[in-house]
Order: sequence, then structure tokens, then C-alpha cells
Amino acid sequence: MSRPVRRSLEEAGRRPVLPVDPAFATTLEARLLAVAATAPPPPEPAPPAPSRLKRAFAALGVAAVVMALALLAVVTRPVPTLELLAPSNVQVALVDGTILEDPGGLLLPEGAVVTVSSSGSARIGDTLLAPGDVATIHDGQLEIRHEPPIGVVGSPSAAATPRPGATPQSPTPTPAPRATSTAGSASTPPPAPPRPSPRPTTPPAPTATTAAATPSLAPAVVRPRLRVRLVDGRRIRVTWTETYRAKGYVLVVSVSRSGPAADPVYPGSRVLGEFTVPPVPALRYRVPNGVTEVRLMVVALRKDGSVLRRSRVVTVTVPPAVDTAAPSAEADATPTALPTPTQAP
Amino acid sequence: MDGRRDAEDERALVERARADPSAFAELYRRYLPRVYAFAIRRTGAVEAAEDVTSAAFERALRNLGAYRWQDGGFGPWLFRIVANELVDHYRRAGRATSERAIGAAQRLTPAEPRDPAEVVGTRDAVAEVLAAMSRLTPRYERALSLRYLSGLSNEEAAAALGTSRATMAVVVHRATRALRRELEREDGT
Repeated sequence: MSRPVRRSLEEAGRRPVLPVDPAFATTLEARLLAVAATAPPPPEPAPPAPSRLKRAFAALGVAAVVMALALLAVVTRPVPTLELLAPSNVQVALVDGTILEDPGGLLLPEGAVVTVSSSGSARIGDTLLAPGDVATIHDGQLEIRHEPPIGVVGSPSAAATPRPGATPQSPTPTPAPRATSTAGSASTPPPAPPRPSPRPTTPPAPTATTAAATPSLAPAVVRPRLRVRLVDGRRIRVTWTETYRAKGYVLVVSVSRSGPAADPVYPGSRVLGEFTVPPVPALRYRVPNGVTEVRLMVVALRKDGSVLRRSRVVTVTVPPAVDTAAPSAEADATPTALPTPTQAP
Repeated sequence: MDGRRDAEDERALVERARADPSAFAELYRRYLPRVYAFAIRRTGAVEAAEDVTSAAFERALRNLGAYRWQDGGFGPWLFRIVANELVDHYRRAGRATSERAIGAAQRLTPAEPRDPAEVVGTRDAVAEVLAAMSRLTPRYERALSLRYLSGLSNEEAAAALGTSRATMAVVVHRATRALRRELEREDGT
């Protein structure tokens, strides 16, 4: 049996293989050059191995430094991270007017306004947000005030899909700048969604309008698979799969009001948000008025902020001027009627 | 003589690559076909091979500063990184045992088809052997993949494993025996 095993191994080693895809080779070379350009200067080659005594002293020194750092970390209590967790029926308005809905895992930037609807809930770090709360990030601190419950945030159509216990009320403008004043929200997810497992092994099955490639085998360090869907003509649902070793994600976007949008690049393009985990359920990005095409890309980052992997660029064509005041309650359930996002090769 | 000159050239290139990205690009272009061939022979899937290849080169680039020139040259060091990435690839998801992995390996077509029955039989056996390799210890898996799938010479494979050639032979022998046992165990279940 040993001989057949060896023969099989030799056979495997002799097998002709497909040549390298030139596009892959070029892309990888460019990426490596970019990494080399941004990477810190490489460390000098290690000196000859020190003696055992020197190594023992060095280990003691390292241990002392580690203990000192640990003590310092305990004493100086780090500033709590302003991360939006488990959002449900929550709207985040950024200073540039961008509106994101339920962006779980978002690291809230300065000036962001988080509005919780009457049936919503969320957590920012250790702080629980109750229905009607409006939280503002000011000077890196969280300021919370309670406003009368306003129904489903910014969603005149919420009455079409009342939730148990929710009383229909007229929408109230949120205190943050808005990209648009009207929008439908027939696809808000059920409240209090469970947090995603840290390492999802089975990504959701792609639908007709899901722009995600299905590889034959999951690779070692997968690029985040960006899933994008236009749900009611003016909103884009966005989520992506987790990337091994990623410590954060950046969602970048480029938009166009006429003709095709440029491919987003990072760094360079507009950043919609920084996330610690992929948003599950999907966040919703409200497309500004007049925009006809949106291109999105998510970038997985390492702990040091360098780029680990980039997703493919997904293009969404936004239909021109639709009557957003009367959105279909079934918009999300009838995706085939909507434009299909396309994915760049 | 030419071999020595090549080694000196490569050593100079590696030294330059520590500070000059274009020199690393030259190394990359020199080794890409072999690294990719190694990865795709082991994984049987283009996308997985591309990911392993890119991860390996990226890691090599990041660790180039710590690399110290050895007699075997730059190749064994790079292939050790690739072998580690391949081991990680299978350890992470344990996907080698899946039907998809076997199917992916079977999709590779020989350049010169022989008797169809023989071809099918060989490819099935190869796919099973490759799948079973991922259930060995990392050291055995590295040894077998470096010895049989990397395209390196015996000396280079031993250098990549970080052992002498004699030790490499022993490890490969034991790994082959372990692989045979693994296949027998699979047949028995």
C-alpha cells in the first residue's frame, strides 16, 4: 500500500497545472508593492543566538516589561470604544449627511447621531440605549438624551408594518443632517437580532440579486464577500462575510450622479464607516438624491490598520427618481424587480 | 559555476529587496509560477491557490527583514512559508475531507490523457491521498507536500523543512506510512 501512496503523491507532483492568471499576477504584484510602500522598515536580521544566560536575562526583562504594561493598562483604564452593538431599528446619521440604518459593529465617528426608534434598541459599548434615545458623539464622549418615541426611525411607511406593541406615530425629523428627507423602511429586521458568531463558516446562500461570487473552495484568507442589494429604490442593504485575522473593516463608497462611478479605493474614497465585525443583519445605506450609480467595497484591516484583504467592487445602479414617498412594503421580498448589482471581475 | 553565480545574484537581489520594493517584485516574478504550481497542486482549486500564493508572498515580504541567507538560497525559505500557509489553509476549516475538495482535485485534467479508466482511477487516488494528507500532523503534511508537490529538489525540500536530507528522508518515510494508515482507516470506516 505504501507504494501506491507514494505513486499517487508522485503523480500529484507531476500533474500539469493551470498557468497563473496574468490578471492575478499583476494585481498581486501591485498589492505587494503597495504593501512594501506602506510597511514599516523591515527589522534587521536577527543577531547570532545569545548565550543561555543572556537569553534568561532577556526573558526576565521581557516579562518585567509585560507586567508593567499590564499594570499600566489596568490603572489607566482605556477609553471605552464607541462601537454600536446589536442595533435594531436604529438610525445613524453621520456628519456628512450619510444615513446608515442598523449598522452593527460600526465604530461611531465624531459627530454621529444615533437615533433609536420606539421599537428599537442598541448598545454603545456598555451603555444600553432605550427606545427614543438619541445619542451623539461629541468630543469622543457619548451624550444621550431621551426624545419622545418616534416610531420606526425616519420611516413614514412604518405604519404599513406595525410591530407588536408599537403605536403608529408620525415621523419626527432626527436632529442630524439628512441626505434625504423621505424614504421607505419596509425591511427593518426583527428587533434584538442575535450577534453573529465570530467565525461564520457558512455564508448565506446567494440570491438572484446578491452580488457575491461562489468559489469552489473557501480560500485560506478569504477576501470579504460583499453582499449588496437595492431594496426600495433608494436604500442599499450591505453586509459582508468575516475575514480571518481581520480586526476591523472599512466600507468605502463612490457615487455618481451621471454615468458610471469610479471604482472606490482605500485609502482615498469616501469611508461610510469603520466596523469591528460585519453587520448582521445587513445595514442599510440611504442613497443620496440624484445619485445614479453607487460602487461599494469593503476592506478588511489588520490590527495595525494595514489592509488585509479587499472585497470585490460591487456596482449598484440606482433607478432614476422614483416616488419614494410610497414605497412597496414587499420591496425586499420581490428582489427580481430590482436592478441587479454587478460585481467587478 | 553558473549555479554559484545565480546564487550570488539571488543573494544580492534578496539584500536589495529588504529596502527596495522593485527588487522584491523581481523575486516575486521569479518565484510566482513555482509557488502557484505548488499551491494549486496541493489545493486543487484556483481561488484557494491564489489566496495561499498571495498570503505567502505577503508574509515573505513582511518577514524579509528577518530572513538570513542560507546555502539553500531564498527558495526553500519561501517554500517553507508556502507550506505553512497550506497547512493553515487546511487546518482552519478542515475542508480537505469534504466532497468539494475531492471534487476540486478531480477537476484537474492531465495534459496528455491516457486510457480514460486509468486516468480516472489515478485521479481518484490522488484526490483521496491529497485529502488524507491534511489529517496528518503539520510536520508530516509539510514534509510530504514539500517533497512531492513543491517541485523542489530533495536538498531544497530538506532545507525548506529545516532538516538535513537524511532526516528529511526519515520524516517522509514516516509520513508516508502515516498517510497509508490514514487511508486504510478511511477505507475501514
